[in-house]
Amino acid sequence: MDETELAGRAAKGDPDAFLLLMETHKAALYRTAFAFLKNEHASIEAVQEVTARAYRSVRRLKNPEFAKTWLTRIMINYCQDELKRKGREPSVDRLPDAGRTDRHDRLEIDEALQSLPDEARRLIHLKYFEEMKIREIAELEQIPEGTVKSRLYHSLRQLREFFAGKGGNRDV
Amino acid sequence: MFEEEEKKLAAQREELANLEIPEEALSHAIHAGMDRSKRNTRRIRRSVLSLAAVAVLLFAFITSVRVSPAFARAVSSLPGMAAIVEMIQHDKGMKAIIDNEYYEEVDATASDGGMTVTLNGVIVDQSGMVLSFTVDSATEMKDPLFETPEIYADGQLIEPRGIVWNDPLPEDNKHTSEQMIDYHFAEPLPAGTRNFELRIQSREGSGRNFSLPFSIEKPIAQGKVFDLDQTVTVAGQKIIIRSITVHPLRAEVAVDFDEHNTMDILQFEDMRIVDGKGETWSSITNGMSATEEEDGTQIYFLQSNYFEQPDLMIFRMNQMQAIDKDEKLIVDTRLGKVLQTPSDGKLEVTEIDPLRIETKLKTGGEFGYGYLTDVTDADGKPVDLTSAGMWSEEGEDGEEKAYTYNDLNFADADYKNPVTIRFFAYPNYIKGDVTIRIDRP
Repeated sequence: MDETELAGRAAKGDPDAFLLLMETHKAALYRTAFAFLKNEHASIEAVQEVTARAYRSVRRLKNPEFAKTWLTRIMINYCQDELKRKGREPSVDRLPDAGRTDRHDRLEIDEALQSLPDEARRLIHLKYFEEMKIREIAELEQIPEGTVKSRLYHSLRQLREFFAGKGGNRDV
Repeated sequence: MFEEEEKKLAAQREELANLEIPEEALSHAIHAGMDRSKRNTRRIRRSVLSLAAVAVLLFAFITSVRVSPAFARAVSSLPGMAAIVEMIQHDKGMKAIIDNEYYEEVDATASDGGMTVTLNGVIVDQSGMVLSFTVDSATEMKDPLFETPEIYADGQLIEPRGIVWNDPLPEDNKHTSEQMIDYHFAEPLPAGTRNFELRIQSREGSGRNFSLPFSIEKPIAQGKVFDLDQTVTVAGQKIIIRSITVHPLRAEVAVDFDEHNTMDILQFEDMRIVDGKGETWSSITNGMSATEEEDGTQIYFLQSNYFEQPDLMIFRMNQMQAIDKDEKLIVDTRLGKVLQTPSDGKLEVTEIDPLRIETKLKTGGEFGYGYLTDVTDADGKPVDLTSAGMWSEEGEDGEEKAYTYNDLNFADADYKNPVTIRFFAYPNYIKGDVTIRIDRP
């Protein structure tokens, strides 16, 4: 059974097919969660939450061939909500892993991504981390392809400005 | 053009690609997610019936109490405790009640036409009573809901400030149902009260009536009152903290607002009491969260530390829901017209008729409050309500609790349009830092 067929059966409410569908995509979903949440435990929890949400609304999955995209979208929504919710709570500072050579760069890009508005961050994520095509992103975000391109351009410029700003500060 | 940025992003992608995948933990998470989803597909709906002031529900699981599986099992083995275990998960005060054996098993049964109601146990203090009971039916129960609970003490009706009960949805072939009622008293119950009677009515079978007299052995705990009368200012709004009264079931915080405030202060999401060790007692999140006295004083309910009796207690809050006094919800129920809604566009009126309005609020994730409260007509007279309900709905993309609904049911159409509906909660916030030390009297 191919993936589309599997997703089709899951959408009809077959629990075994849904389970198999989730198993197929669990690693990808975990990576997506990790990209946003930066924490193993929180990312596993995210997979659980997204499973519950997806299972509840799986009958609304109209195009089984986009099952993975659909799951990714639910995951990103969850992660962005989670980050907002955490931002409202008194947070415990996360310390970077010690002993990593690329630590500085890694933190810098994390910080830069976090500084982006939700939509910009989502577009960057879909394009560069999920490696989705502009057309797929347009479909997912329900905006024209041209808009995806211009917003991506704008988002990258924001990243550049962030790096430039950081560089300047570092020299002081 | 953005080579540098794209390079950094590619490095990040590489790192994600090399991420170690906790295969087994993820499989567990998927199973757990599916299980949870099966349990939660029911629409949550609870009802509030209040005679005097209006009380609305908070139904959020903001914090949860850690209960060991062994503890949960031990409690579950007590008769009729399943519904209460659910409450304990979200309320430290409830857990302390069980730990301190303040729960009392009682024995009372009443039958009517093949249906039997058995009272399993009660928790009673001066602020209210939680009752757990089991319903058994010889025939299939199509609608297991019980309504209009009344509690009598020594033959006199105890005036309720609000009643919360769970709303079991019909299931196929259902013959037994465990239920609970959380009944808040309008006035403190005299501590010497021993003899009670519960009267309830089944919705099914044209309303069978059940009367269950029972008495309790354990003495009723006396509430501890701390008078504070302190005024604090948050974002220019003055809030007066009158007093805190600690009962086993809940701590009641009485709060007033300065009439010159430009905003209506609604819910205190992070109101809490902290002890010297940093242990925190926060809002009650599964049941009635707050109510309003007839004189306008707001009473907020916190989880109780009655049994812990910490030496040092600090009252704290940092964030509250508030909305400009100009922001209103005004509708004409006869014309079916919406005249005003808050300017942020989050609130939508989905149904209007002279006996009911239903609204939908875009909350974008967990909000968990019934957000509408009392209604006044064009002459400024209060409109009587019979009930209010709230439930939530996921968004199109599966986002949980993206929308919260709240409906209000009017007792009659005998009022003058248009009507103004006041907010009980609203997802708009002001922030500050309020810290008050509570000294033992």
